[in-house]
Amino acid sequence: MRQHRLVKRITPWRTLCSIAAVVVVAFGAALSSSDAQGRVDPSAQQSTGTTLSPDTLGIATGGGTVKVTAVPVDIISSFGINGKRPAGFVQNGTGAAVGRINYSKHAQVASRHVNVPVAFMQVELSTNPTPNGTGGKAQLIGDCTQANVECPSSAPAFQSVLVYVEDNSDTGASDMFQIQFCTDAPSASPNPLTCTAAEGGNIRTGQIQIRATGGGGSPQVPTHVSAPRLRP
Amino acid sequence: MSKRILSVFFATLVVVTVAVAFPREGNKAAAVVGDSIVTGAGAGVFPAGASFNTIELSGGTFGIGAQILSTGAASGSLEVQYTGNSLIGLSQWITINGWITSGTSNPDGSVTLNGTSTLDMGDGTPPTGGLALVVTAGPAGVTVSVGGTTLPTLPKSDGWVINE
Repeated sequence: MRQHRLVKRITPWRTLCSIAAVVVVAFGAALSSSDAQGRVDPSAQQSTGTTLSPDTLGIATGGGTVKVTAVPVDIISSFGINGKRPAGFVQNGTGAAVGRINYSKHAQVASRHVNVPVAFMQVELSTNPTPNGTGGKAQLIGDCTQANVECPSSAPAFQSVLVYVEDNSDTGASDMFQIQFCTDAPSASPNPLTCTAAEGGNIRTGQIQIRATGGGGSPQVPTHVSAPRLRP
Repeated sequence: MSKRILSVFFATLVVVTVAVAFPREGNKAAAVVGDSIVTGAGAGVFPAGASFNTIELSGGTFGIGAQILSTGAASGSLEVQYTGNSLIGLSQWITINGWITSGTSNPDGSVTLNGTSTLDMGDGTPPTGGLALVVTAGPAGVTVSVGGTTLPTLPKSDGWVINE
């Protein structure tokens, strides 16, 4: 009789525990479809990458001009850049990206055009973003081996373009754009020994924006600093 | 025995419910960002007679990097610098910096970008910020409107405007 009571008391608990266990397993199975495969939801809050990383989610955009040191006179170059993670991006260290690098030197010099698709990207999001939610650094790697691209000529041929940008303010002041050309095949971590010296530096006009996700930026943009009076 | 059957049935129901509800996270991830990106860098020369705020415009350069989502929201920036001469013949560079907040792709391959801009007349006066910006950029050139005033279209003679 005593044993019967005990069994009566245990049975409901066993049922409840079974259900709880199944719920836990079901949650785990469902979550793994998005998390275990490294898929990403750009609308979700992302942890801030504190170093350049091929896995950090982010987008890099920018347009402006930069001064290139040259002889006998410095050259002004325009740039336009775009980098973002592709659909179905997997955070596996390969740093896949899509986008484009446009760069044009405003002078009659050889190899003054760059027009390449972006193949890889490393991103570092600022831990202290601006009020507009931007800030950070990015490295875009363009692919010179694709069809219909323009890269400076050299022997051996350049196979990749390495662009490094910094977003340090909403006004563009102290933002940075640098470009190098490498004989290495495009990869998320190009060997700097195969690259030319960097052209560019602090941007002259324009702006770099690095942010976690796309979407409309805040319209509350402060007045831009006065454009330099530098003549080419 | 019937309790066991009920438990198994209930557990299966829970698994199916949760499994159906959660894969939506995975679908969102595959969507990632944006429908199109517009990138450009180049220069152009104005035909005779182009002017803005009494400045006779001779040419200009531009740099564009913007990403447009399917919702019409966009992010990115644009910079256009016009070269010209003032009424007294002094060289003057007019600079427009734009912060893009929305955009659309047009049937002719161009894009229309909207946002906020800063206009620097390059004459020593402080730049004016917070001006409404509308830009149409395409293979033919770049047309900028700041604060409701449309500048002459800068024909593209060098470089690219690529919408992809």
